[in-house]
Amino acid sequence: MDHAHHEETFLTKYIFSQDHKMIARQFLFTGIFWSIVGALMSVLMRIQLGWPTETFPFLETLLGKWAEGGRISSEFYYSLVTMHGTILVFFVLTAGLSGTFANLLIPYQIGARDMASPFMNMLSYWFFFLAGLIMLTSLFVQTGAASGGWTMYPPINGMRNTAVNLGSGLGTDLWITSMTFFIVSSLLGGLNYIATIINLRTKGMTMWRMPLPVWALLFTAILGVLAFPPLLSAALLLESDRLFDTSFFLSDIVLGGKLQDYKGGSPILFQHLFWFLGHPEVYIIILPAFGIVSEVLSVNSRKPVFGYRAMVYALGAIVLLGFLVWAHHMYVTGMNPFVGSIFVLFTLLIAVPSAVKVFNWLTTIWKGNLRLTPAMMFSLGFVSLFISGGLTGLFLGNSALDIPLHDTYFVVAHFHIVMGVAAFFAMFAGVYHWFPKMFNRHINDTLGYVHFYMTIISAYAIFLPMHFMLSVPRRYYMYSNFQTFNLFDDLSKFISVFAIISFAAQILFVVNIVYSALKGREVTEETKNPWNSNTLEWTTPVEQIHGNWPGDLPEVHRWPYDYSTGFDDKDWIPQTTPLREGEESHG
Amino acid sequence: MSELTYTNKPKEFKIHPKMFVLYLSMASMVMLFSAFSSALIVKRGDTKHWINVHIPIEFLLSTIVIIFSSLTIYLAYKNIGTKKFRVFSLITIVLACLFVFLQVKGWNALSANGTPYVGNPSGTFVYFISGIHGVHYVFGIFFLILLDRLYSGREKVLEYSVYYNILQQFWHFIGLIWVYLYLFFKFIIYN
Repeated sequence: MDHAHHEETFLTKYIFSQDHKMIARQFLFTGIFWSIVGALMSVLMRIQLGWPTETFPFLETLLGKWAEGGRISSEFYYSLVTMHGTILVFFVLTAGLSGTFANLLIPYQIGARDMASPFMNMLSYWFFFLAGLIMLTSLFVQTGAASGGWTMYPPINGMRNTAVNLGSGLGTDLWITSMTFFIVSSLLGGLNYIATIINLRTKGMTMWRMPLPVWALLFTAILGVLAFPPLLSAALLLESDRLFDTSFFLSDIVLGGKLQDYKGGSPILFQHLFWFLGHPEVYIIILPAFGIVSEVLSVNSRKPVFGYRAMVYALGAIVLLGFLVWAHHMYVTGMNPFVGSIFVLFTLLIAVPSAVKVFNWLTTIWKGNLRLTPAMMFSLGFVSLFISGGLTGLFLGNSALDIPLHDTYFVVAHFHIVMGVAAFFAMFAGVYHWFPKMFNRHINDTLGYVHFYMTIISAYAIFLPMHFMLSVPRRYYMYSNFQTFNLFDDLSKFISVFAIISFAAQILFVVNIVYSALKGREVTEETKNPWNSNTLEWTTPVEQIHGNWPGDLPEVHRWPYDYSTGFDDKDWIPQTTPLREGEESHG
Repeated sequence: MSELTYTNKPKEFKIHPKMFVLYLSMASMVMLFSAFSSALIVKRGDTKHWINVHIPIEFLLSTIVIIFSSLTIYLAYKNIGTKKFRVFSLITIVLACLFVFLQVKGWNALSANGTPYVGNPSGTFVYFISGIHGVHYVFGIFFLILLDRLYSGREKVLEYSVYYNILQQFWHFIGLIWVYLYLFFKFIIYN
């Protein structure tokens, strides 16, 4: 395959590009677009929850019939809940995070000219784009977007019945179609990432010399390749129920006093198929975050990453256990308590490799020469959030506690902190760290610090109080009719105010990216490795070319974490530097 | 960065990267059919609503056809660059079309025996799973015809034989999936 640098047209360079660097930028900007849409939805939800009885005329101007009189309608609220979850989980934290950093880092960090199949890589992005376009269209159909929850549980989502549920019409069909394209995109991407890492490593880049982001992205791809097909099977069976009136997931349903024709199906079966992906999906989101944070912490502590092999084994253990815990989302479905206890055991076992990682991050920064760059701040924030959110996972993993806590704000707080905000923090860390590589300009650090402090304060202000709302059911449109929950009215307002502040902080981040990409300080030959990092991506020339390195590929002689080894007068030794006499190789 | 060292040694592959991608995608396909199989096993356990289905003879015939097509595609691959390639390639295409024809006949027979697509999912699963397998198979037929047209009468076809090798391995795999599905339906689920 010829990846030599060549003249390209606007179309082949910016639109249908097969260059991994451009595709990474495409994933990033599409991910940012979806982040804004998804976050705006959460702001709308919080306006409704914070001030449920008040009217806001601008909402009617913005949303038309979905907010008549300046109040969001209940139908639209449920669409917001559904679409917010879908967009954030799949389009932002899966495609936006993995798509951006797998494309940017895999070829760069293993010393390859591009992906194993640049064409497949391009297809992966365009299937994602198409999935997004279909999902976006669903927001504008007459009966509204899907509103039965991002998990698409039947029976409510298994029937096209807009009289019962407005969003169950065309909106849900478009949701399922969009997700089918999304799964194709993820599979094409994942297959390509694995093939590239296994086959295209440069000379000397043994597996044990790979940077941790590459390891993390490899395990993520393996998870995706194995876990997405069951979701596809669930989506196809569900769509068959909806379009052809089959009964895979439907049985004995009474609508308007009339028994429907569905017989013999099982909605619980859908939950099994869904969560067989759904739970590994959590790790598809968080593993790339692990990799990014490990790299940023080591580079900015000027210390070798602590327990490199343990980090890799922990990733592997998480992948393996991640496939064995799906039913912990289903404790309340009436499963046999003995079966539940097996899932409790495996779920709690995941705490072991997770704790290994946290321990290793802390020991990596311990007594390090810390450089508190914006990327480092976000990485430290990630560790803090991962611990906070992970601890509540111990409660929810235990069926005896999960049953009373199920579908309450305690759950909302747990997963938003541990896989939502934490993954966002890793994504921010990655963008700040590799911004000079992506755009050949430096990002504005001052705005980065403001972004960090605003985001971490609001994130904790939003989600910590939710832990105390452990008796409040989630997904309700309003609580005014329930005397018991009036206690939380002020707290709800407090959370909503910080949700708006958090959204403002993200706008600042987007402004910083756009401004810095266009007007930021330019990267020069002297500043092209601004963090004095050892990995290969920083050895490419300032002028980016398709093929990454002009002439021959760099040869690797050592692992990527030789910081402050004492073997040199500087505190970093690039992977391309041959071992000194008496120096031992780590990999 | 004067210490940078570079290599110009060309990469040697034990497995062609595109073949490797195929092997990985086989893992995905295995997961897809495993999901369908496990769903059917769960359904089979629901004795209250279970209705047994008679698997028609056409599915046995299509199983025999698909096994033969695996043999002919292998012979076509082994004879790339010779006149025999075209013969075996065309036989494979004919057998592939025959397989699709028999599957459709099998669905008609199922329906005629009182197992419609819409109704109790016990029977619907047979249509659905064999249909999803059929989609994979039609995808294979498309490439079978494409590569047959590309290779016939061309010189230097050996250079491109890797693509035919990928296709034949995919063909064997998808054939194996059908053999598994047939045995699974006939002897485990609907016995």
